[in-house]
Amino acid sequence: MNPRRDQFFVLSTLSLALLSGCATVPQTSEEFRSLVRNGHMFTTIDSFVVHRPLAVVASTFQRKAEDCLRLQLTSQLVGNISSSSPVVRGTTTPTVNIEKSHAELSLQFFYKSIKLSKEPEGGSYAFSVLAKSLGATSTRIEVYRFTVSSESLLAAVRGWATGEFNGCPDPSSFFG
Amino acid sequence: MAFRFLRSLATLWIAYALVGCASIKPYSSSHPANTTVTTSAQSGSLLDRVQVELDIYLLRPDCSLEHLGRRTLRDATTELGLPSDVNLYLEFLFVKDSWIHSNQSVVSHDTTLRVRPMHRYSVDVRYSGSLYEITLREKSQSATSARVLERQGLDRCQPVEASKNKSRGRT
Repeated sequence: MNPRRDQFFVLSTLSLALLSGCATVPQTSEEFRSLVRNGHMFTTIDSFVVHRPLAVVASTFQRKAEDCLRLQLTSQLVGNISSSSPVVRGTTTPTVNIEKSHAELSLQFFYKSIKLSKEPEGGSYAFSVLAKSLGATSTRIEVYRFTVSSESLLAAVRGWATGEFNGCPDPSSFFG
Repeated sequence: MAFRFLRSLATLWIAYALVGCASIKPYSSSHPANTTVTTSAQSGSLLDRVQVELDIYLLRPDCSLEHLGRRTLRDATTELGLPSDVNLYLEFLFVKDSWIHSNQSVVSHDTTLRVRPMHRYSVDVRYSGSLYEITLREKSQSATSARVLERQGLDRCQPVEASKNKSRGRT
């Protein structure tokens, strides 16, 4: 567990809401990306081109999102004499939408202990990827993310998009 | 405190004993070695360490699990003898400890596997820079190259009802 990561997530999400003038956190992945595009603090956009067609990239995102990003975080106190029952602390929910000219992978985070105003179902949007076709053989990838605690997600997405990586990011590096 | 990440929303939670590791049965078998596990685990930080464990289960027809044992993948190469012609469930656990606090995280990667006779299997387990990758390959004795086996989750298990088995004269 990294309490500072939890707190950072809350502060980052709240800052997005407050600075945007919104009363609530972003309700859709597009709202999240819009806030990031507007240059809000703690966020950044990474962009790169891969020499693979959109259909292949999108299919990979779909498969790896289910394999790697649909998570349930549980905690358990383990002691010398006895242990507590595991408790669910949160979940991550990936969504992949595929259209003819683009595909989107977004990730929502839900923490049971963190109450946010009007949080969308499935949790707050904190990571989103847009893949846009540049023709038959190339795709542009845009990654919208918080600057901290999402490096492993970025590295995984880059590897999936290029086809050079078939594994997963360690969830403890971005969740929990 | 141990934090466990389940790769799906399955409700099954298997406790990882931090102490009393003698209570977890080590995996040993009389089957000839047919599986080579190559492990490379680097936390990327002087403050953390990563250890890889492998739990081996028998996957029963009703999709319940029978724990056959655990092997700690300490060495770069580990040879295993897995039973063939039965459905197995393999769960790889990446256990990350910190030198400076008592919290521990456990990441689970699982797959079902049916080992075929006269085949060799290789598993490449890598953890580096907060990314992990497990590649399972199968090679028959007559083949010149191995083929990659895709992960098969436990959610794909289709239980065989005991009543159906009884009516068909099966035990």
